[in-house]
Amino acid sequence: MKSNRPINLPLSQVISVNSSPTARASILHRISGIILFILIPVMLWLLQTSIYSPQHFDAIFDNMVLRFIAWIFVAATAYHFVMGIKHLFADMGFNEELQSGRTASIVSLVIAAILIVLSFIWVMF
Amino acid sequence: MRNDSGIKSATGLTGSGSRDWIMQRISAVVLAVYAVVMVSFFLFNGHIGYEQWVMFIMSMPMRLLSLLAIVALAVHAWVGMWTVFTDYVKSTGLRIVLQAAMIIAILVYLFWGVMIFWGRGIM
Repeated sequence: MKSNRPINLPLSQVISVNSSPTARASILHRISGIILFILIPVMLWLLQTSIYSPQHFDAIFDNMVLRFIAWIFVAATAYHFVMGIKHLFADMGFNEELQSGRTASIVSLVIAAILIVLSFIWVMF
Repeated sequence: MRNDSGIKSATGLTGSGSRDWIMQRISAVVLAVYAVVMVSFFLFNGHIGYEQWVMFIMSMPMRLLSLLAIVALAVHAWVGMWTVFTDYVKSTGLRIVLQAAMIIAILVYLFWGVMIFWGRGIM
């Protein structure tokens, strides 16, 4: 029997159908991972430049654009870190049910949001 | 056609879903430890100068930990990006191209990272 169940829904449609905190936390975990992957060469370049000489080191720390990019990396790391911990707990069997999973997602989103705001103040000022 | 090769995906990291899964967890823990160590250094040292930074990042334990982290990053990014590509890129041709580019990028990150920590950041 041929099933008419939709397969390969576009991501935009998936998000509009399922906008629960669990789904949001999950898709943002992936997006933060992609951002980190893209920014890795920038961070490697910053690392390499920072150890080259005191002048290079100061030039990086005095550059607000570079600080802002570094903050994006730190913020994405903070988010990915928090959601990763949530994921490892789920792997061990914690917060896997609908309600507890939802609660864990909301708590993780709040913790991540706080860390992202704090890291902005920390990196930029 | 049935796939009897025992390898479910040619572009996955290990050719085994369960092995990819466990590798992603192990590398995640290494990267989490590295993130905590780096943030702690900056957090507990206030205003950092060049000398202090180089002394820290080029110390023997940090060189080792950084190499471990860059290998963990290669493993973690491979499994993670592979999952994203297989989930969202439905065209086989485009997916192969993107996954090939991803593998090359990961190898570049890996060797570059090794060069920074073993070659003392030659520019």
